[in-house]
Amino acid sequence: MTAVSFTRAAFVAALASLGALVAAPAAHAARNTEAEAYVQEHATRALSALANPSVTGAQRQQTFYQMIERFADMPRIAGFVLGRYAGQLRSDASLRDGWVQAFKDYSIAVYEWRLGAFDGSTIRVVGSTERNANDVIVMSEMVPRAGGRAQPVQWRIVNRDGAWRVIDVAVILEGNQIWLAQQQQGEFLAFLDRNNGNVRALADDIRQRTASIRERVGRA
Amino acid sequence: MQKDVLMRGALAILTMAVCLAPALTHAQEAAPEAVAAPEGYAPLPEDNVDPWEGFNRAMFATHEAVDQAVLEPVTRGYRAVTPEPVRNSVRSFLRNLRSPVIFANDLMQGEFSRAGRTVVRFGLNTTVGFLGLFDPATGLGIEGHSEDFGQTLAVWGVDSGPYLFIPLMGPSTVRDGGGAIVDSAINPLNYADFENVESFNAARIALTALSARESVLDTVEDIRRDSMDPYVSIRTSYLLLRQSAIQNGRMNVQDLPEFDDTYDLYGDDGATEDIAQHPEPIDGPTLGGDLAQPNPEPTSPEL
Repeated sequence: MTAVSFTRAAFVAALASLGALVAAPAAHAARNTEAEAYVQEHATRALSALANPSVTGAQRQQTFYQMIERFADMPRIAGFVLGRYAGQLRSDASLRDGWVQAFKDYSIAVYEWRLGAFDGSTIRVVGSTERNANDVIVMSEMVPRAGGRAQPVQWRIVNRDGAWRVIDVAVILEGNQIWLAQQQQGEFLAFLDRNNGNVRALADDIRQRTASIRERVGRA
Repeated sequence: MQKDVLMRGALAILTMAVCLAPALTHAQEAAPEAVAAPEGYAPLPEDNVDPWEGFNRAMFATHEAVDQAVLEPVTRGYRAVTPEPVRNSVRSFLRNLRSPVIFANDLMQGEFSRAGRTVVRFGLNTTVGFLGLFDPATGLGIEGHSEDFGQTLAVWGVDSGPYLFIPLMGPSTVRDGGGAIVDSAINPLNYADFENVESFNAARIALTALSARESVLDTVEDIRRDSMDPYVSIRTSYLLLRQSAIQNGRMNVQDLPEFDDTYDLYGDDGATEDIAQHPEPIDGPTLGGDLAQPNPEPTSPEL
C-alpha cells in the first residue's frame, strides 16, 4: 500500500514538474507601452460609462456612443467592412455619409448590447505586439466583477497623425481569435454580392437592426 | 472490432459520396458568378470557398429544422436539470477522453511541446481530477487545447477544399470533414474492449453532441435573432476561427489585413482628421433620424 501511494505521489510530482516546464511562457515580440496605455484608459472609461448607475439610460447611451466614437476609427472601419465595394462611396458623398452614420450607429449599438453582459467588469491590459510602431495588437482581459474566468480580448490600434484609434477587436474563444471587423466584412460582402453591390440596401437593413437592438437595450 | 469500425467508416464515406454527388453537381452549376476583387482588396478566407452554397444552404435548412424540433429542446432540458458545475465536469470529462487524439495530432504536426502538455494534462486530470471530471491542470497553468486531423492536414499544406455544412455535425470543409473520419479511426476508445463498451461509446457520442450543443446554445440564439444571414454568419465565424486554430492561436500579426487608404472613404480629407478637428463629440446616437424605421423587427430569413 505504501509503495502504491509512493508511486502515485511520485507520478503526480513528475507530471507537475513536467507541467511546469511545458507551461513556461514563450518569449514575446516587441511591446508598445503607449498603445497599451491608450487601450487601458479608453476601454476602462467605456466600461465604466456602461456601468454608471447614476445616469438615465439615454445619458448612458450617449456617453458610451461619444466615447466609442473617439476610441475607434469608425469611418475607416465602415470602409473596411465593405471590402471591394468601398470604392463606390468615394464619389457619392451622400451615400458615403449615410453609410458611415448607419454603420457607426449599428456597431455602437451592438457593442453596447454585448458589453452589457460584462456589466461591472474591469479591463486589464496584459501585453502587446507591434506589426510596426504605428500598428499594434494590444492583449487584454475582461475580468468579471464576481470573479471567475477572464475573457481575453485583443485590440488592433493604429496611430495616424499622432492619434491612436482602434480599427478591429478580436474575441478569443477556446484559444482561437475571431476579428470582428473581418467577420463583419464577410457578412456584408455576402449581402452585397446577393444585392448587386447595393450599399443603400445594406444601410437600410442595418438601420432596422439598430432600431431593434436599441429597443432591446432599452428593455434590459 | 477493428474491422467493424473500419467497415462503418468506409460505408459512411461511400454513403456520403453517393448522396452528395448529384446535389453537389447541381449546386456547382447553380453557383453565382464570383465578383472579381479589385486590386488592394484583402481577400477573406471564405472567398470562393463555398462553391456548393446551394447544396450547403439546403443542408443548413435541414439541420436547423432538426435542431429546432429535437436537439435544441433536449439541450435546453439538459441545461435546466444540470447545474453549471456539472455541465463543466461533463465537458471536462469528454475533453479528457479526447486527449489521445489530440496527442496524436500534436505529434503529427511536430508540436512536441504541446504534445507534452497534452500528456501532462491527461495524466493530472485523469488521476487528481477523478477521471477528468475536474481540470486541475488548467489551475496549474497548463491550459488545454484542441487538435484534429483536419488541422494536421492544414499544417501539412493540404488546402481546405470547399466549405461543407453537414447536418447534425455543423460547419466544416471537405478537408476537415475527412479529418473527422480519421480522428474517429485513431481514437483508441473505438478499439477498446471491455464490458458494455458499445453502450459506453454510444453514450459518449450522444453526450459529446449534447455538451457541444449546450456550449453554443446562447450563441446560436443570438445568431438566429441578430444575423442578417445566419448561414453566412456561421460560415464566416467557422472559417476565421478555424484559421486561428490551425495556427494554434499564434497568429502572425503581419498576416492581418491592411486598413490602408483603400478603405479611407474620405480621401485626403481623412476621417481621422475629421475626428481630430472635433475633440468633443459632434453628435450622439441619431435615434430620431434615419433610425426611426416603421418596422424595427429584424429581417433575418426564416431558418
